[in-house]
Amino acid sequence: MFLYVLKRLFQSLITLFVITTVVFLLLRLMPEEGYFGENYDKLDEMQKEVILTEMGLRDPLHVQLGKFYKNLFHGDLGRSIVFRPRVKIWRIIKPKVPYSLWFGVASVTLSLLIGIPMGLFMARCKGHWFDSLGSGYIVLINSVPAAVYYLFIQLYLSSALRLPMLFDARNPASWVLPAVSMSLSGIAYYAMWVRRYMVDELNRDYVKLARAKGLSSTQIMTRHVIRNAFVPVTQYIPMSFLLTISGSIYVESLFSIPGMGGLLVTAIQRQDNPLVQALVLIFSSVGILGLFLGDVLMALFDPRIKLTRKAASR
Amino acid sequence: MSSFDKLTTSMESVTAEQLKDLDPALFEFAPYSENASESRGYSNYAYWRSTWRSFSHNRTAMTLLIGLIVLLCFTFVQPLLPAQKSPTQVYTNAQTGRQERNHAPCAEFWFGTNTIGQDLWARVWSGTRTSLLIGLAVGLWNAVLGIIVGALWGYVRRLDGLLTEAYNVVRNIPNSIILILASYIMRPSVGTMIAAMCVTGWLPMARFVRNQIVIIRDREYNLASRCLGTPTERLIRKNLLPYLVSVIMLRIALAIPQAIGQEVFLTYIGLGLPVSIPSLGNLINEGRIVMMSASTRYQLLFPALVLSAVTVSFYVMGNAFADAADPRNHV
Amino acid sequence: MKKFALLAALALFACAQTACARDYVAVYEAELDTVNYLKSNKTETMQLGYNTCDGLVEFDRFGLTMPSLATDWKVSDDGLTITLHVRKGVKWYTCEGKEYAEVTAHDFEAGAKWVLTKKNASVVANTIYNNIAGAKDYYQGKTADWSTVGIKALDDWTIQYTFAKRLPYALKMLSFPAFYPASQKFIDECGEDFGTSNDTMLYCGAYILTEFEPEYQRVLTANEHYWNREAISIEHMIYKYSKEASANGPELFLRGEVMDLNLPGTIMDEWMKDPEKKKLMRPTNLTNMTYFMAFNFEPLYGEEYAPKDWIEAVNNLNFRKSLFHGFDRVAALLAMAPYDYQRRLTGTLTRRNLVQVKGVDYVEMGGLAEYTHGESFDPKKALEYKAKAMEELKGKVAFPIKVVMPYNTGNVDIVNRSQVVEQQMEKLLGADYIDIILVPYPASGYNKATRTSGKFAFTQLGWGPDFVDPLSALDPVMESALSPKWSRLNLARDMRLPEGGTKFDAMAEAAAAEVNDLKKRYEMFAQAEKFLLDNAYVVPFYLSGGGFKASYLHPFYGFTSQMGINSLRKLKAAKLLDKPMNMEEYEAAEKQYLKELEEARKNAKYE
Repeated sequence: MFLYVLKRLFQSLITLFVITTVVFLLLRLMPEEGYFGENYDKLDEMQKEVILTEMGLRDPLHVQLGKFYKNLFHGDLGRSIVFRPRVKIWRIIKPKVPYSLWFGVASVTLSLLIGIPMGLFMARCKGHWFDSLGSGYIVLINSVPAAVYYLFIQLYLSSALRLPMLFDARNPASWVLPAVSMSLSGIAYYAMWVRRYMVDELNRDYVKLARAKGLSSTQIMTRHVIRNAFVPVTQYIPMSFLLTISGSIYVESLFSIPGMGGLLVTAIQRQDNPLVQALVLIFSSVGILGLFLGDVLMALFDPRIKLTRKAASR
Repeated sequence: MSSFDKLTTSMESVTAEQLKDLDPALFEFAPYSENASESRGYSNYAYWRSTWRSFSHNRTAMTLLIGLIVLLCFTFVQPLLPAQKSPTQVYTNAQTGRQERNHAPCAEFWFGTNTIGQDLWARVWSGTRTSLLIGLAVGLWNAVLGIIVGALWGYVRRLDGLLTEAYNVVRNIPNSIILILASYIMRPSVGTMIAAMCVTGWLPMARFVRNQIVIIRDREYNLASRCLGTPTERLIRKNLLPYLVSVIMLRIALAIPQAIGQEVFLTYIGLGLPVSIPSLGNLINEGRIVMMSASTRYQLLFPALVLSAVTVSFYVMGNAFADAADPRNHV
Repeated sequence: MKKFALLAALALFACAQTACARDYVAVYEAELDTVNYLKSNKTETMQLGYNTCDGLVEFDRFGLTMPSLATDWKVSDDGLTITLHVRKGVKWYTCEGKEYAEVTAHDFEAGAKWVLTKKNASVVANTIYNNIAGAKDYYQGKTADWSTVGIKALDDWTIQYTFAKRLPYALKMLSFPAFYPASQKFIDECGEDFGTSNDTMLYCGAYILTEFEPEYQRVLTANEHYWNREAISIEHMIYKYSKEASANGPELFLRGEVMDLNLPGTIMDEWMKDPEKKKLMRPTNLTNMTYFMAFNFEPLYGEEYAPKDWIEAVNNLNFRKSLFHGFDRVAALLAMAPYDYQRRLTGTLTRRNLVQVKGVDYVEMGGLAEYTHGESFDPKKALEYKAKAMEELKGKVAFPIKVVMPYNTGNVDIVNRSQVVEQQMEKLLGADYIDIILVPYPASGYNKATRTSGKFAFTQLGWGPDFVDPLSALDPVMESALSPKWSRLNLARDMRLPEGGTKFDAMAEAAAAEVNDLKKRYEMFAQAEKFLLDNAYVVPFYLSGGGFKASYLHPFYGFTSQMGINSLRKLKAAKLLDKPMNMEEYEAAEKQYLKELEEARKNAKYE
């Protein structure tokens, strides 16, 4: 197992290198005009050259790449060039990460705490009113685009519950609505899949045997079925927690939360290369880690899953 | 009712009275006959036919399936009906010469008009047609490619390392960069939109299938097949995939609503379809902008209703199909 | 008893004064990229600069020049040198309000030097090097000797500027943030981090940026030790970031969390119909940009759109005139500005209220009055010219002429407008005459893909003057000003002069050479512009700004910039009202303001 972990780690580093280099090259394909935004008209050729040189874009590609990696080894993520010129990228990201992380973790926890039991009960009461109610909720969340129901929640729920509309770090009440909004689709997701896996499991032979042996429904559920049904779900849990660092673009822009959501898209649209590279690096590391942890968690839950190579395998 | 409930009820329903009425001939020893012992029962069990039969017995699902087909046909038939308006034409008031902006639903415009005076009824149906087509194309492509790659990735251990890293690389390159670069080369159009969603859309499906296969690849029946020398392709096709039919169907069922949601997102960040082609995605975006005032809320309501109807149908059908696909539910 | 009453009255009065000094809260959708006004010319940064720092001169609420950090000045006889005396006793403060140093003449040199240093990549550098003698050479690196640049601090309290050419608006130019002071000591202390956040900047103006959290909020606090403290009436200015302000802004305003909001177009219908809400809104001032429809004389798009036919057609005067008169501006503007389109339409390229002489506005001079007061849309004339054009072009082109109109898919207004324009013009002029083809482009890199690459036939362009002079407003159509490929207008066949250059450029340059008699100067510019409009080279469309807002801020108080009331405001001497101003009050206030403006212009000391 240890060797497997080491192997994955080594592979991950190579992957990160590939990702960063590919993104770096793709960014250099963007048009030069984009670096100036709306200023493009008011600048003359000389100024544009000066600005591009100062941004480091006039160096040959391999020099730019080399500089980037050299700085990276020293732990320096570089300075932003367009988004907030000259500002250290670390300084841009640092205050935003805690907000996204807090909201992300809170919403994922809520999704798990509410979604999974909801899925369980829906499976238990398959065909009865709770199942229909839950299905109705799942369908609603899936059919109404997030952008729409977030706005509804912000406007109507906030006045109904007397909660503030915009986020304010000093006011604890303003933390509630965004976290709840973000968890809604997670709840639907977990409820839907847990229900599906539970229903599939409840059809299995060993359940019929347990019934025949005389175990009560609750005992069967808790001691046997849940564990089996849960295995596919555990795959995604580490990833969900870790990816919260990337923030939620809709919720954060609507509630004015100064988080990470939207930072990447804005950085790409404004062509702030160092910022994009740094963000991609961070998010990829997190994503790769999440994938890896998910595999490990899954293998822990189900001893029949073997991640490493065994004699009978192909 | 789940099967073990049925079992208990069927066991409990036999009373002492009924025992007495049973035919005593049933309890005599049967004579041994060599021929009879060689005969095998003919089972005309066919998996897919049974699945379909199980599905068609579910009344809700069947109604929704028929409803969906009717909806689809209607979107194609609608332009041919009489008194239909063009979805892109701007209607001006004959008297004032100004556009018929933001008219609430009335006799002239059944769903009302939008901010520049286009007929919402025609736009909704035209948009549904476009979105369903996009969703279908994207869903199908993602499913096929996702399943093939996912199955190989999950089963063939040699490919696991390579494909995991390939997946990591492609997944972590921000979609936005690729989309923006692509939009320089290809102009916004339906084809571009489908291509944009297909380039990386199959990855979640592949990962999902891979996870499922990793769970079952070392189960005893697969070990047995491998011992018997079954080729990989046959093993995947006959052992692994049928096991996963129910969950795959559920995933595919929501592909179309998800494609429409993704379209809304792409339009939100400015990479949507051109205006000459209405779609549910950009109709919902337009409606979202004006949903604040009660008088124009209908512009969001109608496309959202259609989208909800489509989503409900697919969700219920997907679940019903997933239930029907489980062989243990086949009688 | 009387004394007591008097004291009580005074106390009450004092209390009332402080009670009126409320906080100003607004939302904003676009975040600053930097707080350093020496680096960026983005609107948000410039506005921050205006409020937190002072220049040598500033403009009062009528847009008239007033001394600020300069107490008095002298212009040399040849008009190229201005010597100013710096006010004593003005201090630099840090973001915590602590005193740092005194503002001296050397600070003005230091600021300009920072801008002209290539390494700093300042976007506003061209404002300095295009106008100050010797600055361009220093910027390019041809000389490293600062003394060759025309900005000198003669001693601690005197600063001298030498301009490269004579400009009538030279003094006003010194009010630009590019010419603001900066403390060399502080710059050296901060090093590369100078100007990256509120604690790496110094403030000498009416407000201090006490809090700055990007994408969240910023707070400006009144500078207690400001040299003109009595002029400040608002204690705190709080700006909250809200990217979806067009969606949740109105609700925020109704709940009292915001005091100043531009009403999004989508909410207008509802607020207009609701009497309670209608009382809360008033028109917003127009701002600085003019939008116009331009013809492309060098189409570089693909053969499928028949560029050769287009070149033939667009060089035909009658063809252009048919489009000029066939373009229904009101219909095009209706979706975006359903209630105040009349106010926003403009008949000329240079906007009204830019320059005026002795009470006569530029747009009334040189024969422009007929365009200013007329309406270019005239279906009868359009069809007349169409008939003539078809006659003249018969056999040379294949009708219908393909008109390529690109549009930006990221801009909802443009998306809507393009569809309306296409159908309106084709319906009026006939689909046998023109075939407008809408070509979508993504928002990213839109200008490069369309205007810069010449891939358009007839499209909307926009421009805002940088200086208070028609020369700046006519930049986009002059070959010698911006890149000649900006609008490609210079490539029109009947524009070209045999010896090179264009007819319009010749007229405009002659006007620009007139620096003594302002009236003559503006007349000549107006005539040049009339030439443009008579020959239908462009179709002036509408002005930026406008719309409606719900605001507690009085629209006609508060210092302005050189563009006057149409531009960025210094909220120094702004007034916060007890309740939002409504439409009737606005009209009354506007009348009052225009009257006072007349008076003030007559008595202007420094113009």
